[in-house]
Amino acid sequence: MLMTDFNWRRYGLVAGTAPVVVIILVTAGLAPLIVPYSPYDLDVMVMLQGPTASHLMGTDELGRDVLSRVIHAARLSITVGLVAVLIGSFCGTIVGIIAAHFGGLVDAILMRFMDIVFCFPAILLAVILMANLGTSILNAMLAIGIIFIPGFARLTRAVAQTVQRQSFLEAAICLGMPGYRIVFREILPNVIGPVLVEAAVAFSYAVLLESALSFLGLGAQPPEPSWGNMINTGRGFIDQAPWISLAPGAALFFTVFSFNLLGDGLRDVLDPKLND
Amino acid sequence: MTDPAVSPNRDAEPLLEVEGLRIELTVRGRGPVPITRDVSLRVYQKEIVGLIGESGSGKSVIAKSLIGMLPRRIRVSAGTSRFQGRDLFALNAHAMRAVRGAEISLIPQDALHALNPVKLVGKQVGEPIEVHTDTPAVEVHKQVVQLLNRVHISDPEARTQDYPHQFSGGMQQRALTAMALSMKPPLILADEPTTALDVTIQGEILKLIRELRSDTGASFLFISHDLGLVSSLCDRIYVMYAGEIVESGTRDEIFSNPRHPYTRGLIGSVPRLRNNAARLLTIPGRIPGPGDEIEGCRFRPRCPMAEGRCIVSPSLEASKGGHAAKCWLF
Repeated sequence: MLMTDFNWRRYGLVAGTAPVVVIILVTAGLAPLIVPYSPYDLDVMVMLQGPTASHLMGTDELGRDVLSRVIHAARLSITVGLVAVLIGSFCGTIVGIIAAHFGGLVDAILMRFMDIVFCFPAILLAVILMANLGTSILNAMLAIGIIFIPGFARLTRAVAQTVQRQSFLEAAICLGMPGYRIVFREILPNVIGPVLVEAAVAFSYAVLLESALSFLGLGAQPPEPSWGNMINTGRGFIDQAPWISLAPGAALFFTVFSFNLLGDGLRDVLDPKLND
Repeated sequence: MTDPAVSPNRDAEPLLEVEGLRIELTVRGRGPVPITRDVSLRVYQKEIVGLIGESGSGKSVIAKSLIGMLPRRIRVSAGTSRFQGRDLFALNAHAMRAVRGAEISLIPQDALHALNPVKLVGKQVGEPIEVHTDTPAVEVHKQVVQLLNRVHISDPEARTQDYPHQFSGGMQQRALTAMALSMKPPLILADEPTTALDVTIQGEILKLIRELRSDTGASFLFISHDLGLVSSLCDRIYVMYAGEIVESGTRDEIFSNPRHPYTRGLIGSVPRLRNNAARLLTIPGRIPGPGDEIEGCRFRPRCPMAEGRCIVSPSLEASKGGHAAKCWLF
């Protein structure tokens, strides 16, 4: 494709953010191969050292390499984000489509239940769930996933309801299509676009939530590095060694920011009104 | 039009015979309200039958009732509909689904929204075949290309890979027509298939329908509010007013010798190019709603020729030729 033919309005944002997202994902995926030090190795000789040539982001209060820990933590955050978004989007889409398809009482019961889940602040709900399930990273994924279900359910239901009122759905019934085929072949393809956009945004929110939970001591347990618990540890040393908090903070910021932009970009790509 | 291959065979059994159809709307706290009363109509083989009437006269609801697509709260409360040895109104949901798209298909009204925007056109046109038969995908694709070619879409092979928004309005309606034809159904319901299109495209679609009738031998029930369209296309015409059929006859009978004052009003209110009249004729008043009770003839309050006896409802009297009008005057 020639650069002059490139539709910047439509693909620009994705073209710009996708490489950044890929770099983040690859870095996280290859973490054990590229980190300069083990994230768990203590070295009391270099405690609380500022950035140097051998420790690019300095060391923490136990002399561990901050850069290695930040990279390792990315792995955890991204896994949590992916699993949580998968749980949320999968369950949410099913709930939303069932609610829209059956309507009436089924719709009312499902959606009021979703409203109840929705009305708790996300962190509070996560804390409640973790209190019941126990503190572990697996439970954090589950808790964050459950928090996402109502959002995806509402989105899916709204799209499915719009689709159901369209004449192409009536046309599908007219040609004798059975109900399950209408759901999978007519409604689902229309739902996937918005769900994908929502998933990208939800992913960045999941990373943020995981960090918040870890910050509160509910997610990853030390010595397992997580951006949240690194920031929390760094709090005590913010005067002498600000890099302990700043490095994971910056990583968190860039990850969330680029996934949010990716979400916006996906919306542009999937928006039929921005045609070539 | 006199070509025997094209002209309908009215001596044989009718393909579709609707008798005494009454469709009712259930309104909460009010009991059933009739939308159509005692509608009887026939469609013979290879015939294009027009069903015309104003908005709200109940024409679309009749088409919907035939394929079991009435919305909730609207139901058939009396009448039969004989089609290929069965009563369509007596079919269960499963049997009805086997009829829809395969034996009776519908060309929808809203061409611009009747295709799923996220699916390839070729895929959608082949869907009736996929739903009703076990034809392998390669074979379905071949048939789709033929169908698109049949409805004069140029470069059909490449066009199967397009999305609906890449089609113009007229092409979308052609694709929908191809879809309706895909199972070679004996009866095709066309519910105002040209209302969303501009006039030149309308002409092309009508030409296509005539062509398809002579090629495939399918019958069409063409629903429209546009008398001009119906006059150029249909062999026989039913005129509906407020849920009743007020006049029926061949196209020539209806247009050269309209009997019911309503039909006369309709014909009089069609604008013509060489018309010396300073004002276009209109029918005063408006069509009564389904719930409005009118004593006697339902057209009486708007009828310029109403008399005392019109307080008693006339029946649909047919003359020798089959031309019938629901009016005391004839």
